[in-house]
Amino acid sequence: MKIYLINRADIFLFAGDKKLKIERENGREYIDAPVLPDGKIVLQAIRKPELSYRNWWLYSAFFWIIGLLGLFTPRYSRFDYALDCGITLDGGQTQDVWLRFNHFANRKNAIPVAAVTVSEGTVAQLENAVYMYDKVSARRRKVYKLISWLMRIAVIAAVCLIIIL
Amino acid sequence: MKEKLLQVTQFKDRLCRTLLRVNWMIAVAAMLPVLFKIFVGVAFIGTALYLLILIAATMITLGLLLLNDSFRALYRVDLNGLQEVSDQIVEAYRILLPTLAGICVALSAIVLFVVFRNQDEARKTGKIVSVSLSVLVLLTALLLYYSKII
Repeated sequence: MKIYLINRADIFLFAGDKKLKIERENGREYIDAPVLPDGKIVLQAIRKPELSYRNWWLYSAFFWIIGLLGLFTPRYSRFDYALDCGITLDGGQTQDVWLRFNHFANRKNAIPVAAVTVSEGTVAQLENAVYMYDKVSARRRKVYKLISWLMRIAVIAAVCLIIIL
Repeated sequence: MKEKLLQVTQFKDRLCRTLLRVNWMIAVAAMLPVLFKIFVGVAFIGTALYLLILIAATMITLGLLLLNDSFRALYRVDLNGLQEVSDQIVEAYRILLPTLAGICVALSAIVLFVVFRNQDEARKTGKIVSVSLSVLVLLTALLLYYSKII
């Protein structure tokens, strides 16, 4: 079943353990979600910051080197929030089904903002549809930025020293 | 399992984007001799305009300004220094350009390999277009350089 995705950005969709392929049609993204024997569609929308993995330092060091002192490496996202939302839909729906993703997390207000919403009239159940702040990833991003700048200064100083000597 | 899949996907995406940026830097660097020659050409045109303005000023004052040594000194314009720098850059690129071309082609091949291998890549078209354009810019630079147009 076709499910359109609005404002997906860096969120990935899984059906079980299988990552679903994102297709494009007329400028809109969609997935072809598999319908289970019981007529339901069970999806998982996951967003995981790149620096939240265990070997983040190796990953970032590799890209710092190939990105020529990290100058050509795309910046790590400042949105340090993770998402792991379970979406259960009824596979027999006749109208267009779309999932709208929101990339805003209201830290100041106690009322959480839903990260995923469905189209009006869609029969759906959303579990854990809010972003969770990833403190570890936020700290690692700042550490990376600091070390990156220190290393750049060190490399430039070393090159200048070599030229002078 | 999901985490591993996610990490691999994110790694491939970041790799393509980083290599594309480096590729574009190389393509622009390869165009440097051409850009410098254009700059020298513009400098010559600018000098011609500057001299025209000086001549106009001289004519308006009926040549009286020519009695002033400082004003006469303004007519002496030397672009030989700029021309020498331009020739040095063009000469340096004799060795540099094949190296840059090789690196660019290698990086483009890696990006295209990763993009085509990654079947569930959503933003494939943009990356392919970007690689193609950067290679085109490099080929243009090579053509202009080796056909002795610059």
